Amino acid sequence: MIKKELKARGLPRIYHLLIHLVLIFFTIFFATPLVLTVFTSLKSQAEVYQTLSPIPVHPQWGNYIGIWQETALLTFFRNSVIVTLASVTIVLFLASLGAYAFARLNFFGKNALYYLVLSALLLPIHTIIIPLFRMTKQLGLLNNYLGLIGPYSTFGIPLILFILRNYFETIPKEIEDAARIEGCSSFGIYWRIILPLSKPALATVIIWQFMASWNEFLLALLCMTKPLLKTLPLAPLAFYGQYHVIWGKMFAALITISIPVLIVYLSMQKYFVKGLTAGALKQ
Amino acid sequence: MSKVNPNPFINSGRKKSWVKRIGDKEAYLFILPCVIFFCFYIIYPLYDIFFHSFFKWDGLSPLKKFISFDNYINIFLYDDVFHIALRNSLYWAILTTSIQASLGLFLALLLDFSIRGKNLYKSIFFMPVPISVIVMGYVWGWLMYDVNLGQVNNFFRAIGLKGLALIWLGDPDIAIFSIILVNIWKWTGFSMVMYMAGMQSIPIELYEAATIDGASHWQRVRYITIPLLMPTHFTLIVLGTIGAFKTFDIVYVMTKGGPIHSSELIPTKIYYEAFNLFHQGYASAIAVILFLLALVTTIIQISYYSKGRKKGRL
Repeated sequence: MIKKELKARGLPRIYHLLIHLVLIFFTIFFATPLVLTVFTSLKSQAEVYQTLSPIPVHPQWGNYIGIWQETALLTFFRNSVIVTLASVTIVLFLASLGAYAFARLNFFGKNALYYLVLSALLLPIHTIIIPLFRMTKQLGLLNNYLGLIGPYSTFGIPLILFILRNYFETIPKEIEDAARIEGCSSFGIYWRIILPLSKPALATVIIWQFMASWNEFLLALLCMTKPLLKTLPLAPLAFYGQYHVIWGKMFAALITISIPVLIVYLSMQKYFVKGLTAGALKQ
Repeated sequence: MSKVNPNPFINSGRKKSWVKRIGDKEAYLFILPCVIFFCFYIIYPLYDIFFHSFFKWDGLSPLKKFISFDNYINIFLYDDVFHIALRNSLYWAILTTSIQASLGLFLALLLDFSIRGKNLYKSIFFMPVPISVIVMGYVWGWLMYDVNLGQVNNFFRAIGLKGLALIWLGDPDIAIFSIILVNIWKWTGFSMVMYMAGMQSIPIELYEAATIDGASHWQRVRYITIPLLMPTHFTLIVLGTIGAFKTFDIVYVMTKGGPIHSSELIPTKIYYEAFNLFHQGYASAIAVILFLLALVTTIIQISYYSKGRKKGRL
């Protein structure tokens, strides 16, 4: 608060106006495509081609109802929910266990292993997409949720390990020492003390993993070929085949599939970069 | 109780150091699940692409022909599309890191003033970040860039600049830049939020001292905020560069690498070779090159950064 007052001091009204003008310019830049999407999703087919005005004259709310009946949207949703929830749960458990060991326990090759795993953050997954696809096929997991859940969980490990380790290290050690003297095991400490104290970091991690799994495209494109098993990022391609000249419904569908991510993001907004910066501060 | 670490000062001699090196036995149980997944889904596939990069193989038949370095030679000497992809990655890395980071910083600095509607602006600028790239690809490809119905061309026609109404995604000379613009549009909000978070960590005392010394607002920004945000600049540069090597979805949705391969990036090239032409040995070799490129670039960046930090320049 003091910082804010300090900075605002001596700033004439005219500057406020100027700042708002600049910000409004960028608002137009960032919001136009999104607003256009909403407008177009409410247009009828005739309106798309006959009028250049972006604003729909007769909003077709029916577009939003039609898509549920005409496409497999509900199935796509279900598939995405299953894959995302499973991978979030798995990776959260795996990586938090690992992060606890990296933060608090001693073992041979700790730092080397940590940096090895961390370096995978920089690995474009496209380098390993060919063997991943072949492995999934050989395991018989094509068109199977497990074929996506395994890789999604693994790709999440490096970032989550990084965020959680940094966070765990900020928790005072005294709390743990007390528990140890009471006879609590390492797992007990991890489960009963560290995890409950790390809710903000866990929230950050959940939101990142949720977005990554929910939006992943390439592996899903390769591994889910049956229409009934596709996840949401593949939905636009499917609709494209079905609706490729029916813009209104196409964009109604695109908006509908974006809503869950927006809800998750808005509800957990304040945690979004918290965990990341906890790490940055440490450097 | 036995799990309490023995006091290192009481134990002495050789045995202590050995015990210390092995560490807590249960630590291995904690990291085991992570390590298993990691080896299975990341280490083994990496080995696999190195192995197959020396073969001519379609990925399906049991027939694999060992051709030693032929794949690599062909990629570097004769594959024009690979060269285009490499050039595009360079454009991508330079344009996104510079524009996206500086625009993000600019917006973060503006929002640092105590102005009304700050959170609203922030949310709007950030809105494109969580939404799927696939959705964004269609939104831009159809609503913005479409030659006849797209709003970009509508806008230029309306203000009388018909010459600027271009074939944004259909012209080989500009397709990649049109896509880069979408990428910048999508991720600037992320840069901004990272900068805002970085600013929170700058000690307020510095600003107070500077103000007492009579520094203007611009001087405080120039000599305190921007230099102390170095970790954030660095993170964004690394992420932006890696982004150039990691991008697939948006190109696949908007142009599929076309027209005539002009907007190809390395991942789309790998996809095309491996899953359209079934040159999986060849594609593996490209994947190895991508892996090494990403690795080397990042190592250079990190070592430059840590050297600079030691010397106190950064």
